[in-house]
Amino acid sequence: MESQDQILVRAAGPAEPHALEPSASADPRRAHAPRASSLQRRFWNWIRSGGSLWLPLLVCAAGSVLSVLAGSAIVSYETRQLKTTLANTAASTARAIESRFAREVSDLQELGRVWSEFGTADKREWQAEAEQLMQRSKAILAVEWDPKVTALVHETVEGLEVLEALGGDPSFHVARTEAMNADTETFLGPYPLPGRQVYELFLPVLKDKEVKQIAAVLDPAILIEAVPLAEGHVLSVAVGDHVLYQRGELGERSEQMTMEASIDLGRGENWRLTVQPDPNLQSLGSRLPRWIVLAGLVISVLLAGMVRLGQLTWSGSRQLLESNAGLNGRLREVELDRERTLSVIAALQEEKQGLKQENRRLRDEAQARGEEVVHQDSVVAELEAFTYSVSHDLRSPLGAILNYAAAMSEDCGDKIGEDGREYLARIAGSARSAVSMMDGLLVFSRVGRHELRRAKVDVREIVREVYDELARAMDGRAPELSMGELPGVEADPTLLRVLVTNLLSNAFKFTRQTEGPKLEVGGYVQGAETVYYFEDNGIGFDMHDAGRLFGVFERLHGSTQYEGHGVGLAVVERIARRHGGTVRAEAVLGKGATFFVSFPQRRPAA
Amino acid sequence: MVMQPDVLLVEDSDDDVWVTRRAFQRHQMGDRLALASTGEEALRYLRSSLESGNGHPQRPRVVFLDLNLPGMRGLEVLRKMRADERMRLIPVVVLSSSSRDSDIQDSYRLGANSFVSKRYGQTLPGEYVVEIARYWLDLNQPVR
Repeated sequence: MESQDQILVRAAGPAEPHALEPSASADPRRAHAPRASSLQRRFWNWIRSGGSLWLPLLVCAAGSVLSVLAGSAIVSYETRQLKTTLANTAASTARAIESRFAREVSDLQELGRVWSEFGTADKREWQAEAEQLMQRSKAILAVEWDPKVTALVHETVEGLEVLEALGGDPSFHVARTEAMNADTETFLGPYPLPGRQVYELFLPVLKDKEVKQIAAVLDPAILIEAVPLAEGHVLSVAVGDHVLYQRGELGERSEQMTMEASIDLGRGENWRLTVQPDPNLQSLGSRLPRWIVLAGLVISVLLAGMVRLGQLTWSGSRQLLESNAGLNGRLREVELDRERTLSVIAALQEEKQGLKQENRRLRDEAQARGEEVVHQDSVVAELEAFTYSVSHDLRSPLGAILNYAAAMSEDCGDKIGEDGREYLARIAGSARSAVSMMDGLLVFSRVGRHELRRAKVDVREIVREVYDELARAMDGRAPELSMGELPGVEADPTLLRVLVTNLLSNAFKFTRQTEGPKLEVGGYVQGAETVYYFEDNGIGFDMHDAGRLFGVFERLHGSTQYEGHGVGLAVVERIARRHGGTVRAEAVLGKGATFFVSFPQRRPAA
Repeated sequence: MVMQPDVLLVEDSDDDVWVTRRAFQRHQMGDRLALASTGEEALRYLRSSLESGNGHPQRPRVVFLDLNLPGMRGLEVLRKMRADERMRLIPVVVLSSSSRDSDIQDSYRLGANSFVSKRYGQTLPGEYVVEIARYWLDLNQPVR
């Protein structure tokens, strides 16, 4: 299939100098496509060519190695298990043989005790005991009482009694004569007899105040045979080169697992026990790993076959796809479209998420602000209620003072004299100014409690109307009004009218002493604010006092000259503030004052 | 000639009553002013005035009603008057020291004919009440 690409390349670019060398020409052209797709094509080409055989071979080899490793692991585990078992078997067998021997010895000692108690006269008594002992033990082939007395022999060896057969061995003869005359225990052997090996055990017995010996001939093979030995094992007991007992055929130590144990019989005699697992009975354990390895190999081969089959199927289906190239291209386009659509959707979702978060944030903020406002509102409302009730309730008694003062002056004016009338006038004056302050407070609190209803307000019209209203009361002494630009504003019409009224009447009041009183009102938009200014050429004020200007009951000029209760500008400030705006003033004492009121521009449809 | 009272002043404040009575007396109208110091008393007086015959007062041609009364409030008196078919058309001028927007609105909503804030500090105390009374007595044309 590599050739297909080469043909394409040759057909498309014969003029290119690279085209002379096919493999070199293929790469630069492919470099136009993304690198990933080039790699992909190489892979598919490789698959299409049937792929290489080394992939299934690799699978097969890996499987084999794995199964062999598994098999050897099982073998080593089994070996460890077997070794432990074998060591335990050897030790317990050795102990069993030792205890069996100890029993034989104690039986013989018992026989010696009986012999020493009954004496020579009751020969039948202890001979019967000896008969019983030999019948019980089987391993004791003969018993002798101080050889000169008597001997009981059960076994014969090739027609000779066992003792006679032993007597033929000169080394035995010397040793046993020595042992018979000794006063200690002696264990002689092994002495080889035809078909068996024997030991002779000598036990000292105190008889008639003399130390005598009782001797017994022992066949170790019979003694060991009587011990219940571990099944499923091959074992042998030997001393030096003499094999005393053997069951089964011991294998070579290099091939068979072998365990040895020492059998300590006391009296300087040690036997060596050798144990091996019986290969006929324990072969099952060693076969399992072999089966596993075999199965692993078979599976590896099968896997390799499957891989090869997969390679062929894959390349087949790929070829099918390739042959349907047009459809494939369309599919890719569709996929591309889908991806594009998905990315657009993702972007939209991200956007939506962002908007949601923003929304949530704004809502939280609004809620927090709302809660704050509600709290502030409740505090403000409480204060308003207090202000209102105080000013209202104080107003009545003050009014009564005024009324009584007036009545007194009316009815008794001529009786109280000049001074009396003067005091009365001062009482009335004080009460009147108190009532006036109460009225101011009531207005102030009403402005605070007034529910804000915003609408588009024509400030020019309001200024005109208020000016006319105030001018009418001034009898032609009103200051000359000039109006600059007056942009409209979103505000509460009622409150805005109160604001304009207070500022204009203020200007009227403080230009009263001015020659050629003038008043200019204008406005402009500055940033996000609409600012209005009210400028007069009245008495002005010292800028040092500017801070006190908007406080309640603050007056910068004497009340005798300029009436008023010092609430007007506080009301102005309050109205501006309720709209989120501010008020400030600039003035030069004796030259005039300018008041600036700014309202924030409200966002349309907010 | 002694005239039957035809102005009812509903007011609990002795000071205000004194000022108003004095103003009426100033104009020789003292005998035209009847007084009720509670809402209940006012309603009793009005019901009685609806009956004809001796011992019953003349129906007032205007009622000056204070809002801030002990017991039954002024607005409640007004509501009861307007709910009664025979008292529905008696002119009521609310005379209050309050200038609270809600009080003004409630008064008109319940059928007050006028709302006047109490005034203090005039040279002739209570004179404005006499002027209002004159309007209702001399200029206003009531239902026959």
